[in-house]
Amino acid sequence: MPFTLERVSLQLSGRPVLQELSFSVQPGERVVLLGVNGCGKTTLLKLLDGLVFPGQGQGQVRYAGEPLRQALLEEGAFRRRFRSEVAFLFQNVDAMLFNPSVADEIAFGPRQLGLADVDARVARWAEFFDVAQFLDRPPFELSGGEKKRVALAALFAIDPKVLLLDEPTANLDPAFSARLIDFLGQLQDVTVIASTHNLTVAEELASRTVLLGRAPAGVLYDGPTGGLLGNERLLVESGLAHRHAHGHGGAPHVHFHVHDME
Amino acid sequence: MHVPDGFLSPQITIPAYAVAAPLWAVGVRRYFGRGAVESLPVVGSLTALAFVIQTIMIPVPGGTSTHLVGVALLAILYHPLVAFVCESLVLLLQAVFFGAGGVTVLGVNALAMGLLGPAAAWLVYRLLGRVWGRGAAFLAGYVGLQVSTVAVAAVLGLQHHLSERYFPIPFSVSFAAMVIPSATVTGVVEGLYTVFALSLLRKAKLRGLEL
Amino acid sequence: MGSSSDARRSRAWLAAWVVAVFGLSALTDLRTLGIACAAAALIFWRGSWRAVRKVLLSVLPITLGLSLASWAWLRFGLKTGPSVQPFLALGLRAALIAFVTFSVLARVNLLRALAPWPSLVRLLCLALAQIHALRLLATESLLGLRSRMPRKPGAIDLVRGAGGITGALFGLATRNARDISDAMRSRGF
Repeated sequence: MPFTLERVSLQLSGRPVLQELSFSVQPGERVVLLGVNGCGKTTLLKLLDGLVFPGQGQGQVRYAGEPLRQALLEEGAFRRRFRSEVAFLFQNVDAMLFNPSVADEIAFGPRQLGLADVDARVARWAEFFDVAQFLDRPPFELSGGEKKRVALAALFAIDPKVLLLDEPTANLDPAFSARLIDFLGQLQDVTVIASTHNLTVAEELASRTVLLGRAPAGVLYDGPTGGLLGNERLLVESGLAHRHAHGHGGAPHVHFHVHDME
Repeated sequence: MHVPDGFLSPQITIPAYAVAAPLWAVGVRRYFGRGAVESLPVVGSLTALAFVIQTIMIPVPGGTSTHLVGVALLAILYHPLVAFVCESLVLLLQAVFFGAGGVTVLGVNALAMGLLGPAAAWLVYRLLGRVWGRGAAFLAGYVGLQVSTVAVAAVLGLQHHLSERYFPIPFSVSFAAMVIPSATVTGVVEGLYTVFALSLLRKAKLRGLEL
Repeated sequence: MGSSSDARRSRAWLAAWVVAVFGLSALTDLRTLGIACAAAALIFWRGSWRAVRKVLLSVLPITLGLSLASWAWLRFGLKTGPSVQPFLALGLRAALIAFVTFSVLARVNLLRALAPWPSLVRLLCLALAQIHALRLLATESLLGLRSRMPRKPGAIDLVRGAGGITGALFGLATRNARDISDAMRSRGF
């Protein structure tokens, strides 16, 4: 299986962020990481991408059975394999764009990994993500949504087996957002782990949801997305919904209100 | 004030590059010498920070405005060589991407504005910072800018001395034209800015970028 | 193939530009400067008005200002009889170098030209991208300051505000640098 987390805890700058997380993700599975802003979703994705590591005695993350350790990721062969199989879309897309043109940006990953048909990959994914008209332009000149599409094209250009997506629909217009979700749904043999705080997007993205509580986050729920959406208690506990109290002409009552931020 | 291209002859600009280049190498190796994955983002971000601070305009008496410099801040928070490397990159970006500043005079501007001024600021703050907090910060920003200004005026004076035909503006005129506004207005602005910025950064305990 | 010949052409332009500006910076003779101006105008005829406008806005004010002040000081203060020619040569030299610089940079894809030095290109891209991000924050923060003050912010307000904005800029620069480093590693750099 691609990922297994065994009782992982993590602190950042002395602050506990993740607490005793345990779950696993099967190859080809689609999973949403759901939780409010600041609950640790991004940190969890970075853990899965081998960018941060739990401390000694703080649990373990395994990828395809191998424990993800810093030393292993510095080792050439494993690092190459891991980086060619796992692609991470950062929430801060600006951080991902450091090449002089959109074409170079999309070609960066395939070139780094020595993949064939770089030009064909660039053309295909630039076309798909509707950025072909920007190929000669520097990515930092583009709008937020255009940058997001360039970043997605750059990730797909390496034909990854695992997609780690941090708020994949943020900054995308509704039409493209829907197109991306449809596309992710059609992918075969690709594991998708996507984070969001939006329940509507969660429902559309994946049939399985891992719900994180507020930091230091533990797993509040791990199961079918449909099962979570009807569970008022859990949604309120995680901060994704609240009971909104008000009155009509002196008659108070309470609504259940979901925090759909988009 | 930056020296524009055409004000200094190769007699000065080329030796300036010869002096600056090894200092760039030392600065980069000492403070940004880790792998590219670590150092490039840090250099890029600090350079961008210095660049953007220098776009902030402050209105001053007389209906004009001055722009902040902020390089003293980098020197105080990190080291004068860090300020030197970043300011040199700022000057390069300004010259080739934004059409401001000069390329032949980049070495001179980098030494005056990126090294001498910030080094003076750093020294003032090191000497007085512990006993005089905000006063030391003001003085560091103020003195740093005066040193940069006087350095630029001195180089222009040297050019005039080497060839009046090349640069006919006497030292007295370039000195007065640059130092009077710097000592009375822009230095005060820079000093105040250094006080406010340092005070906030210290209060927020912003760890900043690790070098 | 097209883009590598573009890159070679851009590098040639850049090399010629560096040689030209250093060469021009050595000239003092008005006649030689005049000939150089004519040559530059011919070579860079296309788009020359844009370059001239930039020269008029950026270089000429300071050159003229200093030259006039000097000439007046020498003539009326020191009572010497300064020749006008060196001042003209100074102005012409500064304007010509600026014109050549603006004209060359408008014709060159700098980042592509610097492709043989990938670390430099990456650094410049990173810096430019961060400038965009930080500038947006700075601009919006200053607008926020204006919108929250009942009167137009004065110099002290803006300097104090700039101090605060610097904190925000530092925070964003720090976060971005860490994210960029992570992203570079994540993409196999």
